[in-house]
Amino acid sequence: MSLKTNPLNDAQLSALSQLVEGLNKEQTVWLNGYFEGRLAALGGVDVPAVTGTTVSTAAAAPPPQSSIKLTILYGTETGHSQGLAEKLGEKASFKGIDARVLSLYDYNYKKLNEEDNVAIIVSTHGEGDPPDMAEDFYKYVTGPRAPQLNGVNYSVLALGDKTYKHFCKTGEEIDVALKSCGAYRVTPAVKCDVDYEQPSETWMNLFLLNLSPAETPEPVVTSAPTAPASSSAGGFGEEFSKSNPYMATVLEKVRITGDDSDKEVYHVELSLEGSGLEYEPGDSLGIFTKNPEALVGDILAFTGFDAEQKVDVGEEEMSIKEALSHHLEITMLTFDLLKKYQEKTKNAELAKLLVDDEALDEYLYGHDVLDLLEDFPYDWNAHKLVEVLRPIPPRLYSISSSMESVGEEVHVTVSVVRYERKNRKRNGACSSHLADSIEIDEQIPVYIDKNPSFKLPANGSKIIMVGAGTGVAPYRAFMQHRESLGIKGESWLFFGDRRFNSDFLYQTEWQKLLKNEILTKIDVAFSRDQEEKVYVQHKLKEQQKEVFDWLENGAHFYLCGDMKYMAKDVNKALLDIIQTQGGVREEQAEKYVKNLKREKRFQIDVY
Amino acid sequence: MSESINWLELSEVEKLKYDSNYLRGTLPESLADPITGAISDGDTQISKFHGIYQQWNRDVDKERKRQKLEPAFSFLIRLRMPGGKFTPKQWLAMDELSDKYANGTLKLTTRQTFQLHGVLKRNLKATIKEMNDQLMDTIAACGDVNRNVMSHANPAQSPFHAEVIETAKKISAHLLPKTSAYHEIWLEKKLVADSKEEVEPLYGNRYLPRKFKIGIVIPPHNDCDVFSQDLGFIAIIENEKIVGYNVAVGGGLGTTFGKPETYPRTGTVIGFCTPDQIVDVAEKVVAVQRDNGNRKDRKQARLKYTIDRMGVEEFVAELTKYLGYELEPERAYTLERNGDDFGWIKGSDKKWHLTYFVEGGRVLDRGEFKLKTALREIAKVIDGDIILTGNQNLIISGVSTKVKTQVDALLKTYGVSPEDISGLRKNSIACVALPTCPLAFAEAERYLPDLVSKIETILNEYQLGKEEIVIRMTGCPNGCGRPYLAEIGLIGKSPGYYNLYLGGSFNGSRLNTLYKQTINEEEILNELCPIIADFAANRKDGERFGDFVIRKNYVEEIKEGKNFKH
Repeated sequence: MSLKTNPLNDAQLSALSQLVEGLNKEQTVWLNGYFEGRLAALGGVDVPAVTGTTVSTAAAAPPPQSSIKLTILYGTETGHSQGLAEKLGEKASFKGIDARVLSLYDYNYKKLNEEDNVAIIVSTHGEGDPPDMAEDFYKYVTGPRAPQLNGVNYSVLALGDKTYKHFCKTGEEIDVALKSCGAYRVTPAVKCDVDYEQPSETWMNLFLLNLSPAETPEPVVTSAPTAPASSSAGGFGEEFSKSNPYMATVLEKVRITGDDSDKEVYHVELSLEGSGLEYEPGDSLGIFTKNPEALVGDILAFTGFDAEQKVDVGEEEMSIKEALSHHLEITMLTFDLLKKYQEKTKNAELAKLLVDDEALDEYLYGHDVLDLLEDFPYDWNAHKLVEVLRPIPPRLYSISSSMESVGEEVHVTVSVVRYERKNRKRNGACSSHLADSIEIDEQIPVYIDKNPSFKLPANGSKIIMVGAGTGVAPYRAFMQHRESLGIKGESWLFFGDRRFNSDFLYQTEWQKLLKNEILTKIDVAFSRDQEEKVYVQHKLKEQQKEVFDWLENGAHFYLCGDMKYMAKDVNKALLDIIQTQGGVREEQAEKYVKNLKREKRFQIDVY
Repeated sequence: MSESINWLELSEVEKLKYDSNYLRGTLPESLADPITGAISDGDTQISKFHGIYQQWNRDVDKERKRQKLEPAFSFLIRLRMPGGKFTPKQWLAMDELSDKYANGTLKLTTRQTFQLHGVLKRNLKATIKEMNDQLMDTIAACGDVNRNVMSHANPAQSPFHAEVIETAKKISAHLLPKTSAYHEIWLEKKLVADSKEEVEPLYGNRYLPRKFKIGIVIPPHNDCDVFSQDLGFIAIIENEKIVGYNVAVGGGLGTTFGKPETYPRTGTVIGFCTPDQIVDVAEKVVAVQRDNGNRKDRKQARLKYTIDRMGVEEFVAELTKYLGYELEPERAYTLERNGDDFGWIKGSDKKWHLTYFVEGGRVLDRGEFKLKTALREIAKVIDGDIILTGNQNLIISGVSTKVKTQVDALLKTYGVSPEDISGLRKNSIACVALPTCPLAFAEAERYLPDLVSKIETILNEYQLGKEEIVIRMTGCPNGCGRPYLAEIGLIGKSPGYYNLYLGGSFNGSRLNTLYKQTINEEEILNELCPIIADFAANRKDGERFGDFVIRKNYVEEIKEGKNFKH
């Protein structure tokens, strides 16, 4: 018996055990009602008016619908918590409470602060771990991003097994966490051993009895002990923009490509709390960055500049090292830079390069300022070089979240650029900085870059979303948006990457969206899982009849990702589809596409 | 059978089996779904009947969840090979498949067969096709049917080995599901005129309530733990021939923590049958279980519970009705041990047989220890067979004196000559457990070797290094490694913690008893140390460790499974 957590003395406990032993269901229901009646008569707790005052009504007809809302959440591995949650749901409905039962996996915990009443039934596993499905919720309420929950009533039923060291740890921790978030603990948490039937029954009855209507929330007893210091007041009234970037705190940074991937893709979540910054799905986030230290060092070494030598960048005076690190673009080349470089150096070879389109394209791709200095030598001094170089621009990333879903946060999906050329490791300025140097809780300067030409249709029109690699980012935002606002409308994702096992970006989210019918269809192409390379354009063509059908029925077509190859190939595939399915010639197909663009039904975000 | 079934009161799997159209389920659709590396929930039950378990790499579980990737799903494929006898060609095929589609290793199981681990969904069909090309299949290697039939493994130990292995094959063939689902789904063979009726004359459309296991031993060897089987046959030899078999029913080991109504049970010998009755007896025992087994609660569904519920007498009476004749009274027999005897033995067939210890049953190359390569090279040269034992070991069987020399040389070349291993290690079994088995609470195969080394240190202090002691570890209480019959049994409760059981008998006829609950390595060693010291000082001549701990009251003997406690 694990009734030890109850306030009964030994004699009462033994009498109770004796009493309940061998009771049948009917007898138990009767006794249940009897105790509810007694409890009401004792007046020890707030009893909602709807609860019967006599035994017979308490256990008989359901009372009229009250305005009490209850969300019952469960986290389970063996199904016990789910069973109990459903039982509580039934009991609550019987009392006229508007109850819904959800797994912690299906529950959007960011909406926890909007709840009136919450019951949480959760088990503990292994070394005090939460069940898989409760892990995110658990992290959220016990972690640094724990929400303010004033006005939320709750109670926790913890399941466990006393033969383990960390008996009911998860339930206990959630209970404590919710309390410190300011939520009101309606009834004390109950911890159950493997024989959970009786204690859980007692907990349910007591909890339901104590629920009060939402209009009169219980006064909050506790004060939130760990209110985050970064209050929104600091930025009040201040407008953040590209010229006045907001220092956003990194809330989460996780590599989302698996172990065996040869790509490094990070999912980064940033706080916009109190910034007043707003964005819509399709917009981009601008991030200011610094250059890789190794490259700065190499340039200084190659040129022989004194790192501390002062130079002027714009109006400001600073050391050349500081200028190369934080103010000037050195990881990428532009046509403009090459032209200026040539004008200064009068280098004949570079002049030739500038008029050879193909060679120029090739040179611009994958070379940096150190290559330029090496390949076209010139006796530079620091001042002159600074004049040639352009200021380091912020990097833009398609936003992968919707404010409707994540509130004052912004998520981006960053593919880290790293490659080797001429025996030198090259790193993308921003992506490698984010990957290697920025940790959770640190801050980076950001702003919102609006993109009005990559937007969801205002209504629930059909959408076809085509993306490869991180090109899938805005579609995550699209889906979050539609889900949060309850916008119905068919949607179809074509996603491509290298390997199913490790490169299926946001895989579990797509699966969930499909299950919940927010996403209607998905086709995937993984180029390296089989002998022949398969890409998104192949999948589009495989499905061409239906793709064309969707277009004919007003679908919006989105294309996001790599400009160099994918965009071209998808464009070509789309033209082919229109020709084949529409039975038209190439010019007419081109016209069809043009028309789609004019109607804003073909939107592109490539880079 | 009446089709008015009250599904609500039956276990969910019953409905799945019934709806599966004779084990088809929605497997074709699941295999074609490109969004997940998993198959549908329902199909994970149905696939078992095809010898396929869905698993995932639990080592990277947390990480992948955070990465928003689904678990790293892969599949275990288990072969059906009654008696565990493989040709060298089949061995080479398995060796190749393990590299091509699986994780590069072969697991020898406690039921005399192979398992491949880590096969991705998209490679399942190809793997099974290539097995089929070498006359191997995976039908009924798992699921609620009769599983791989075990038999005495070592031809050198008994001239009757060939006869019992043939019997095992006959029983296996007779109890094989008749549905053509396997051939349709995996081998893409079209269904031939299906007459729906009598697809499964023995099993019916819901198959058995639970798994069913059969094993045959030749005394004094109990190498397939005959008392752990739902149905065990003990060969009775008189006047240089097998005159028949004692029949043992209701063995079974799986239990569930927190459910005291579950327990391990050793088989009860209920009589004797002649060789020409054995297939019929097997069929009828299966039929009695089919009709009387519990289909409401899968944790009460094995034959052992059916028998304890009915009572042995009533069960035998029912069986007699099904058979139409009575079994003869059981005959005398003696079993000596449930482990393997290692080393070369010359059989009565004048050929050589090497029983070789494979730790944890895992065939792999690791650094200088190149077991997988050695066995591949051996398979290329031998003129005999390779037989898997029920203790995760193997026998290089039936080779000439010349080939024997070659085998020894190859073992040496690849750094895997049979070492002078301790009596404890020789008798160790570990199930797969983490990272792939979804049932595991704790490590087993990856950890037992280290723990054995630590216990060896204690044994050596008392000059007991050579003492043969059966030690078995599993990551959960489901019993794949038969831990309940070990002299030292360890069953995982949570990472790093085990229940310690003592007092099984060396010949596999007695269950062990819980000694300590939920203890870690340090505690395990601290508990065992004084008992080993006592054993060294006070054992009777020839007394086994398992018998000693009972005589000295370290634990009480469990006489009936029902009294077993976790």
